[in-house]
Amino acid sequence: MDSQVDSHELVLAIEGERSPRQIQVPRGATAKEVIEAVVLETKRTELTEIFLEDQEECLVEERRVVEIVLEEFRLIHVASKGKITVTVVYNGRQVHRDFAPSVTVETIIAWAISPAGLNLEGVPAEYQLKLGSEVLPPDVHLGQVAKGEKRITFSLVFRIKPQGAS
Amino acid sequence: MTPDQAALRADIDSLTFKLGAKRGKWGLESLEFPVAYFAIAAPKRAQGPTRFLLRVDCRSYPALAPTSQLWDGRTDTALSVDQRPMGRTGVLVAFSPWNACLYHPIDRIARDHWPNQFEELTWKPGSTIVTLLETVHGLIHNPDYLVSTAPDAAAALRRPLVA
Repeated sequence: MDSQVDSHELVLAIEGERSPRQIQVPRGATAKEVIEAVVLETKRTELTEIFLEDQEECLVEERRVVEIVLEEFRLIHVASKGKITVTVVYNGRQVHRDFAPSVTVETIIAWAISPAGLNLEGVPAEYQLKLGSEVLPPDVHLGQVAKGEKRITFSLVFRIKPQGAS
Repeated sequence: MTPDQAALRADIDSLTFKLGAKRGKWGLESLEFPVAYFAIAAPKRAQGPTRFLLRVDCRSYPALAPTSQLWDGRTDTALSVDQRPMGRTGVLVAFSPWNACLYHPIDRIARDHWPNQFEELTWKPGSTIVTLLETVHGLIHNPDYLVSTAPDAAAALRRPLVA
């Protein structure tokens, strides 16, 4: 069988790397085999878990990965073991929670403004997370911005809306 | 191919750009350097198109910030003001007819309108076409956007596509 037909270019995020990567894997590759391919390419043996975007639990080793993303595109995330402790600071208040590295910034905002977090009015799209001075896109993964650390602090701000010049 | 054209082409070919396209956030409609046209997905509203067309002038990319406008592919002109994204009090500020550009600090023409303000929103070293597309996508997906009378046909270019 043609190897091009039998393989798939899998787009994935890797904990500690801001830009996504694309690796070629067999269409029937399991979670374990995808991790092995990533470790081979990155030489990072600490990468042992694979997640679907915004999922808190990693995929079991036997799960076939390509068929999941072909059904509906979802960015895969390969990470080291352990969750990331997130602190969100807003107007002098702060809340903490552990998240999987595959969680998106949008999901963190949704939690931060919810009653379980800071209990703020509005919807996630009205807020933004900042890391230092950088405003983070809503669909970037936590593990892509935490620089390989297992602890990170964000500032929560209202979406910045420039009005007419003064 | 000039260096600015090659730089834009490389960023359009980047995985970060393709990831946004896979997520359905944007797509390249045409590239006739220095002008590129992108479709930007719009959120569902009671009245509004499924996407807007963005015309981006990318000369001297990425050293100079691009300048862009919502575009009407039917007439090959700027989208008429009454068809731009509207909020409670009229056209959203970023799409106001202040000038032939995006009224936002990321835009080359508009930037000087907010001297020493909104530094985090400006075009900086390391910014790419994806930075601009994320910005416009975010503006359109903000709850402030309530309605637009633009039809879907306005987001389709009528001339042959070049990529």
